[in-house]
Amino acid sequence: MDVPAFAASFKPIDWAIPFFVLLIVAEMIFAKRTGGARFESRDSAASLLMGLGSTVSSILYGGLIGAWLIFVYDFRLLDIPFAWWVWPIALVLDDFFYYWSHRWAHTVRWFWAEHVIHHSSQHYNLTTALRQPWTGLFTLKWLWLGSVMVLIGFHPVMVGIVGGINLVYQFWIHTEAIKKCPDWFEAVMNTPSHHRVHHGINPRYLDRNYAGIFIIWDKMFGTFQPELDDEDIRYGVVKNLGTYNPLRIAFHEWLAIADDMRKAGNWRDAMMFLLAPPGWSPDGSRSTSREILERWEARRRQVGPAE
Amino acid sequence: MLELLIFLGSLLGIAAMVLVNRQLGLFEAATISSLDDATRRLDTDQIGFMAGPGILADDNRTALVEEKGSGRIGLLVVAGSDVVIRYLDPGSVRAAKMGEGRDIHLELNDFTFAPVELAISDTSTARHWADRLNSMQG
Repeated sequence: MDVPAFAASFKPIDWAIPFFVLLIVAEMIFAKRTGGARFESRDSAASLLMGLGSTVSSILYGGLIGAWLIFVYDFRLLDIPFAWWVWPIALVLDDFFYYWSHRWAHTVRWFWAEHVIHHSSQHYNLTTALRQPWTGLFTLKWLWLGSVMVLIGFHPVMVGIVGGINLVYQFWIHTEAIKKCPDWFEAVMNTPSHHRVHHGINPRYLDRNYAGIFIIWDKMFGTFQPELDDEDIRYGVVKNLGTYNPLRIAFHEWLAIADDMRKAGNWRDAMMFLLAPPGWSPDGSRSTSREILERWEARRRQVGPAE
Repeated sequence: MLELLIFLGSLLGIAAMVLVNRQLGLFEAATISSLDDATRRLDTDQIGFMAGPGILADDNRTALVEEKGSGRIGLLVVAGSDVVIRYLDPGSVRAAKMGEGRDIHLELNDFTFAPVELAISDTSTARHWADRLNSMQG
């Protein structure tokens, strides 16, 4: 199938980068004037360097993934054209797969090892949006989940563009500067308020709101949690990092998994360290998100809802 | 060559943004105001943490709190505008060395945790906690 000229050369993220820079500076000025956002320079530096490293790593392994998708495209079920009406369908479908990919990134430690990087800042500002992993290749999700739309019949170029649009959309929601959007927008779309919850480590915010563009997926699949006025959000990960070193940030969870698997007493435990939810351990000495929530709910029942 | 120029330009852009961030401030350095504050933070972080004896460093930047029963030590360290917490079990500590003054230089067997100085004014207290931390060596 011929790829239209505009699509062949259109890279949404490349186009968006100047706006990313302008918006970050604007948010910093907003923070200075109102105190409505927090930036810590070492944290910002780490996030921005992670973003740059992610771009470099994507260039390094992008060719391999592109070649794989072109190979898979030969086995497509349908011939879906580059018609105007296909684009919104592709965008919604891509967001649906993004929801599941993102959900598994939080619930399977193998995939979490890559995604944890994005959550590893205790700050929540537009630089956090750019704190991206370098090791997407290692999850191997591109071999199967990333290939589904291409197997259906969407051209790899179209899949790449709508995936890029999805990521660009998610940039602006990484802010504390916007409290709430209009009700109709909050009901359908992912917003700063919904995504703040996703980055929260408060027990009732853990593993909620996986949406990329449309929050409807969380509402459909039971993972939606609105932001609550009476609960300040603590950002980061359950075991926060005590380093701003980009290399340590990029690889720490992979190394932790390798160490756990090496020390595991048997094959079953070794595989569970890789495939079980983050926080799983054979002796229960660590806690998964579900266990943390259960402890919090038990405490709440004990001392009352004011706690 | 073009890619290299884009990469170097991006590094310059990042440096400029970080410089703007640094010049504007934009955050308030965290402190641990008291041992009660440390205990409250631990209980929020790890629901049900039963605080025992503890020590707050003189600069309010680090604290150690023992957990009743388990023998674990909760370590709190200020990092910028936030506090990072670790729970020290046997095997967690690489070394806890008394410094020139009364500081304890603490290194953990933790890839994601930079070495930390605990400023404790009383020498015997510092010695007690250094010994306690060294008992957690692996």
